[in-house]
Amino acid sequence: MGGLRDKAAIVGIGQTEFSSRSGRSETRMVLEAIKAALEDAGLRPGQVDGLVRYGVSQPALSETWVAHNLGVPNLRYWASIDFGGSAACAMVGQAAAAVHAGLADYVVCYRSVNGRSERRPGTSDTYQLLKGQDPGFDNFVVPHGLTAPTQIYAMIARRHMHEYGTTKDQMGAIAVNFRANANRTPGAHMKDRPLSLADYHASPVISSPLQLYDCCLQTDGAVAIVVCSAERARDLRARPVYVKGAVQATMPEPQGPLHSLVVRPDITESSAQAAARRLYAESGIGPGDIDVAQIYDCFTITVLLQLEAYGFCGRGESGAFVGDGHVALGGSLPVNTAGGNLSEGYLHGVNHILEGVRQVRGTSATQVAGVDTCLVTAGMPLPTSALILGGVAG
Amino acid sequence: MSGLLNATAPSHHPTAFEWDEGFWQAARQGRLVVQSCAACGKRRHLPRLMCPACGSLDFSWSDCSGRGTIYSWTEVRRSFHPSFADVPFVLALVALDEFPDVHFVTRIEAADVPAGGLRIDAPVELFFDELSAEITLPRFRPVR
Repeated sequence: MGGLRDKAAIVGIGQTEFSSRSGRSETRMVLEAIKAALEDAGLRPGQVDGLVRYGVSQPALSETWVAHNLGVPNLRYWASIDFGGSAACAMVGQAAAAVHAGLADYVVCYRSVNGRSERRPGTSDTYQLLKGQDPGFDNFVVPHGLTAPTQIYAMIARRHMHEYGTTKDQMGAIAVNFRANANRTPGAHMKDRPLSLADYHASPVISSPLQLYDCCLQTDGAVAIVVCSAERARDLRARPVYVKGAVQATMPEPQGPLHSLVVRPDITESSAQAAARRLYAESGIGPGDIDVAQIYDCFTITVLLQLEAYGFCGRGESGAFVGDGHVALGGSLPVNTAGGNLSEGYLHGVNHILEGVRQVRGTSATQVAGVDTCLVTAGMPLPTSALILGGVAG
Repeated sequence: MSGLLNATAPSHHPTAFEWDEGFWQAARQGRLVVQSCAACGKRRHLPRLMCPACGSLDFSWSDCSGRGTIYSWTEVRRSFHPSFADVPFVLALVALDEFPDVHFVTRIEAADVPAGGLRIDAPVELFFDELSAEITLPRFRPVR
């Protein structure tokens, strides 16, 4: 087993509401979320000495600016984790490594975005034609009109349907289940918007076969997580949620955002396969031990791919796995119990970590009985990351 | 060299770089090529400077027949970028017969989509789309 198992714990979580219009800046929201997380942990801002942020493109959320606002007197560790949806679990993994190595005592991980009222991930606003920065994408993909993740995952979904007989009903069951979970989750973006399978089928096609409800939201909100060593966690008020394993992974062709599908022989494979192998080996925990899972859902197809990659069913069997009700709240593996990117909010998977913590603590609005271990996965646009969270050390 | 060719081209046109200018030169001549390592012979796509198998920085260009099949496709109904507002349009991934591990992206013209729709594994043929004096784009369409 690997070196990080039971060495670090999440001891605080905080967030703003998730909405279409926050009415305030990303900076203000991140400070609200961090304050809430520190209160949850029973820590003062002055005790923070490490900051890990999601992404690199938001200057107003830099580690030094956040430290300046929090009044952090001595920042000893900072990191910015890049590559879109792949970053979320890596943030906690790197914070865990930092506290285990003694580089910092209390690390705050954060993500804040006005993803609906301002920047719109996945559209031309943020998916710029990166002349010179991503030449493979620009020259061999973009000129034909392929510029967005939705188009790429649409082709992956169609291939999965072709190879394995996956149906839109099965993909719709994912959307409907996650929406039902969000309808019960305070602060969720889609809290008050129910979704039926008929609604799902009637929604507009975005890039076939993906329709509106196959695609994640665009959300305004902020989230924060406090990480410290397992020893320090014992002195704090919240029940520690232990990091049982944390991994980052790629594939042999780690081409830039998403367009590795051009050079992957099998586009229904991803870096999730490699992440799963290493995560289970390092944690000593297997898919049969996982009680509940928060799986990155930028699109319904990424849930299907990861159910297979993480060993909850065989290759090509994820459609039937979902269709048989396994991922519903009452099923054998409840997934995205707060609604995920599809319905809770699109905080690029960092919100998945918060819901994982709540499920392990026993405080979720959709609490599953008897949760001890929760898998959390990040996106796999090609790189990916993943965590296993657990309530018991050892 | 890099960037100067297309100083005034529309933003979505390719810009030749030192590792792929051979691709664009061949395309202007009506040839589809992939990189071939001069040291170990391994063929690769997307073009790059170094061979991932042996580390050599020397490469040449190897012609492809252009015969292939549809590996997957999508009909784009919503515009994701102002350069591509002419929705709906169809995009496909094409697997070449002699290079099936690599996929080429292509737009399929509406007029070339068969009556029953595109079919995965359907054969495609290569053609060339002259975007400008500098850039010709290799593209594919279903064989009739």
